[in-house]
Amino acid sequence: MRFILFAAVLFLLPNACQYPVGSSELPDLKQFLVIDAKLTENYGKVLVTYTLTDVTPGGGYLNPPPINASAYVEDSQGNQTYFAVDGSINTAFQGVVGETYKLFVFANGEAYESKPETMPACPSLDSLSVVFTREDSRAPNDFSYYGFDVYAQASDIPNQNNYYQWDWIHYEKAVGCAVVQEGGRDVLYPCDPGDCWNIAYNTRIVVQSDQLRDGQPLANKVVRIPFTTPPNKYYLKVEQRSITPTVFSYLQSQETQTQNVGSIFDIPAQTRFSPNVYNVNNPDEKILGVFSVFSYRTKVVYIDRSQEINGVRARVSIFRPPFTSDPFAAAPCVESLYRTQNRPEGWEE
Amino acid sequence: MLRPFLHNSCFWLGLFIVLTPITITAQTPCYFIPRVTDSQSGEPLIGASLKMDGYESSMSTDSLGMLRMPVTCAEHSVRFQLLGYKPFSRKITVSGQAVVEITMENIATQIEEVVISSQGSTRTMETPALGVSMLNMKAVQKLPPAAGEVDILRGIQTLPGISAVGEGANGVNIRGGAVDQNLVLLDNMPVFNPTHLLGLFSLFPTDAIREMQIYKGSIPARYGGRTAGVLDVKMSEPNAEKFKMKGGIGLISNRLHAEIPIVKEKIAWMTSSRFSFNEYLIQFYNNVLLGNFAKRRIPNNKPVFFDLANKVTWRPTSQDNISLTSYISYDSYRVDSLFGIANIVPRQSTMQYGHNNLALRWNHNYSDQLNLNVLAVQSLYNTSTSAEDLKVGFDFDTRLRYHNAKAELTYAPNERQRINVGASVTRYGISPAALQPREGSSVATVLLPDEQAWEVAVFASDEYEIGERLLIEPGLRYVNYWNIGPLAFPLFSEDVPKTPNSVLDYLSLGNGAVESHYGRVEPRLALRYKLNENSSVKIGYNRMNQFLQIIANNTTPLPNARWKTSNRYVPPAQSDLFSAGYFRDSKNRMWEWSVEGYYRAQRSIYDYSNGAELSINPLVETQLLNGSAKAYGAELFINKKKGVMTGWLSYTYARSFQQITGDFPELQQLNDGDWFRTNIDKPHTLNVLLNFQTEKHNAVSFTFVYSTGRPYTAPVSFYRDGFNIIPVYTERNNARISDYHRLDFSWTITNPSMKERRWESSWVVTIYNLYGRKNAFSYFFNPSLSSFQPFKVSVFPTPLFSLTYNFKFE
Repeated sequence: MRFILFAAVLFLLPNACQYPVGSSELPDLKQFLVIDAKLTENYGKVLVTYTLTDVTPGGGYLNPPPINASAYVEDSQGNQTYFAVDGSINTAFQGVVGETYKLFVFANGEAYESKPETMPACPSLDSLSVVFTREDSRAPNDFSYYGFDVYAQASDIPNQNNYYQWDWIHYEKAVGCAVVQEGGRDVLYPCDPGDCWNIAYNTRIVVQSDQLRDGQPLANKVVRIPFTTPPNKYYLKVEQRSITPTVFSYLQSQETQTQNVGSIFDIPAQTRFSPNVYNVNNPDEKILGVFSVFSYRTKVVYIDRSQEINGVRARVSIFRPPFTSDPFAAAPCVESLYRTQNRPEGWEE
Repeated sequence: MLRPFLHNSCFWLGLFIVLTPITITAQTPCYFIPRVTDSQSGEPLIGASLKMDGYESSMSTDSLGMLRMPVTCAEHSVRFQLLGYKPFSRKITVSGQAVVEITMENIATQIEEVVISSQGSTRTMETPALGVSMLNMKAVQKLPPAAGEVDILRGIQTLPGISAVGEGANGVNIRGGAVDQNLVLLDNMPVFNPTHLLGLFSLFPTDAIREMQIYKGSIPARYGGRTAGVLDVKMSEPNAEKFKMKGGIGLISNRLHAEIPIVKEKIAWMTSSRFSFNEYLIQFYNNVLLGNFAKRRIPNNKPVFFDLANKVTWRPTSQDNISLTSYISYDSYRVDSLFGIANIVPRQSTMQYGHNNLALRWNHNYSDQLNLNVLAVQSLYNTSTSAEDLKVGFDFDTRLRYHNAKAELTYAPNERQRINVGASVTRYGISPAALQPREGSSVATVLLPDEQAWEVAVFASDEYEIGERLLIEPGLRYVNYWNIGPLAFPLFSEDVPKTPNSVLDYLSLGNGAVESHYGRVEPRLALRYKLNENSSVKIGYNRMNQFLQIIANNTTPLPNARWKTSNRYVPPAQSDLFSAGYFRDSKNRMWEWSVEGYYRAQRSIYDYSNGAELSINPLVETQLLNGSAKAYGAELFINKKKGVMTGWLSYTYARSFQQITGDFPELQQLNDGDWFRTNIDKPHTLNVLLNFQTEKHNAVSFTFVYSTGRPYTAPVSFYRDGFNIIPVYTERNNARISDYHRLDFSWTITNPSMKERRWESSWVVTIYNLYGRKNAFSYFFNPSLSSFQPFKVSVFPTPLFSLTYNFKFE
């Protein structure tokens, strides 16, 4: 058993053994204002809120109280566009690459402004490259032990500092829209209408600068898709954003504090407060969120998970109850963050 | 800025001269004047204690291996004892003042009666030094090891004032210092990363080690270049009379050690290696056994390491001893998504690192009073990180080159005085980063320019006994440092924080041209006042400067962390340490105990700006925030040195704080510019080590360790950003992880057959972390795992059982 122990010891260091801490006293919670705004070529949105107000022993939170606020954006010609402050998308705003914008927010009797931000140009997203790999660092029963690394490939704009962020969204046809107890067992109700899609989102921050690759082809890993089924044909839409250096440094800090943790080589936790939004009368007030002005390009790729690859077949990852025996039973496809009746861009049956 | 050389040096040299006493000696009819040397190497033995006519003399040998004792002109029964050496006993007739040659046989590697001591057989209360511990390998081998690996660094953490941020840390912290603030020497060769396998095990080849001296308080003037402490590890002298071999098979590594006489009593060679080939066993397990018996595959991190030490000694005359020592270490370890550069985090990378060291030493005894030591040292520390990624693959190399020449003269005009003077010249060369893309990779080539510097030091110290009670050792070290070209050095605007945009110009410097120069005086003082035959008080003061440091913001630095030499924007770190202590031992010297207190103030320490990129940043000065640090504490040490039960208890109360303001406090300061706890601020530490040996064949050891949990940064708020919950951090180190405690057990069975043979063997059974406490290395918050619940990282969360087989052939 010598080598087993040896490997177990060595496995601990970079991956480390991670355990939830049963009870831990946190310092007294503080509340901060959050001002987060995004402007692109074809929409804008502004969210003004507070940080979460409380943390329960079970790890829950209480929503922040409502806030009385208004906001508008002004371009270099003085044109103003007003926004709701609930984070909803405003397609009335149409940004222009190269134009400079400022954000103005009035909340709880205080005036907040952003530093001017100029919308950078985004190079085309040339292709999405999909590479099948096995990750030995994962346990074999991990669904992502075998999987597909998806790389966004683009050509960097030379002779200037460029900063990128990648995001993705996944749609798959909803097989059913409700699970209902019928005769003492769970059954699945089909969707009404039948064209209904479930949505999954990116929950990780993926950013990159061209510091090491000025003017060269970019190839950045965006996501790892597990080799599982269903669906056999996996729809993925990748969005490539050109962001400003201010936003890049803000997101990079978030990435470090939330994703690169859990080993003995962690760096000290430190939050970067908003680098470009400030209280006009009290510049020392610490504000969270960032005013992000970016342009973007998208591309869709389908990943085929139906075939055997290198002697490996996709694992079944979802258990679904049987459909109802009632031929007329159906559940409505309700528009929400996670479900839509709108056909995704580039969808293929 | 630079201080005028003459002004300071004259002041301190003047002080030194004033403090140096004038020698006046009285005459008595007969003196016993022994010169005690190692039987193999002829080296003078320091600290051998004398028992004469059945009575403890309270005297021990000095750096020339000598002492001087007035006696009656008659035959006397003489016994010398020194940890790691076979006691010397003989009747000697003293008839005048002639020097008596005495040789002692090194038995440090034999397993026999256990004597664990912080100071060998020397009476701690006798020496002027504060905060100095000496451990021989026999003592270290009795500590229950983790996973069966005898580990010096883990062993010394049982002494007061020495700690680490946790298991797996890449070094130790001495009295509030960082890991790179310790000068670690292996037979005079500096070691820049004292650990194998990313910090799990110490790097020293245990079979080749004779003893280790740890200086955490009074640091002699001959040492310099670091601000916290010195770990001086000495290798054994090869046996020039008969062939010896020993080795062992352990859980982690296997060992083989041989001592080979080449020319009897003249030339001998020692070779000692430690190696691990367990990668193949893991592959075998995965490929062959998986699917048949095993349910879980072992991640193959391809861990491989070895070290190889060689030492050749030549004694051309009875006055000369020449040795050539080499040391090579190598580590290779595959890690997943651990190491990244500029936000490029490859799926997998292989980290390789190691030392390639060489030392040539000549020791010459001109007379019984005068000894010369000349040394030439090379130490190379290289790292290579290969990212095996199709799209962003790269090779990343770093190089650190250290070359040193040193000469040291020790002069003992009489038994009350010992003067040590010397000079040292050091050349530093650093290739901080060479980044090369692999085929098909989109990563660019980055080659950071080399850093080069000279450090020249002269030093002197004088240990002098005034009367029967007072012993004083003033010392002085004067060091000059030059950062030199060729380089294009950025000149930053002084009106704004340093950023790439604040570079005004580049200073183009040719080969050897000086970019910046620092001249620093380092006074040292150690003083002992004997209260009576069994107790003394001591005070000490040190000033130290450091011109080479690690630039890394991890909790513990990665092996390929960047080293940086000082320049005009990165002044050398400077430390002042004040310490005082009370020392006492029992009349039969079975017990000794001490209480020490210290206060350290440090200037020019560095923290890092948020999101700092350090590895390949050509303007790394833009990422540094300067500040100060302070540490203080009290240490209690109780040591039982003899008997069936030996061991020690140490309790440390220690605090460590830093204040980071940067050049522009309103923009750069951390924690609002207030003093805050460092990562290693652990107020209470208790170590208990007990060793029981009732007979020759069995020994049992227990170690208990307790310390307050170290600080970490906890969030003070959370907010929702899209689909993520983001923790919000404000003040650094505002909470503590849970307390640490652990019990270890070790059982050594020596020569199980109980027959006297040339081939001897022993088995060592150890259980590390006996009750399986999941001690935390750190806490972290990961919203993707659980919204607000902290997680802890634990390195050895379960009991670790190990079995080691050792053999010896003589």
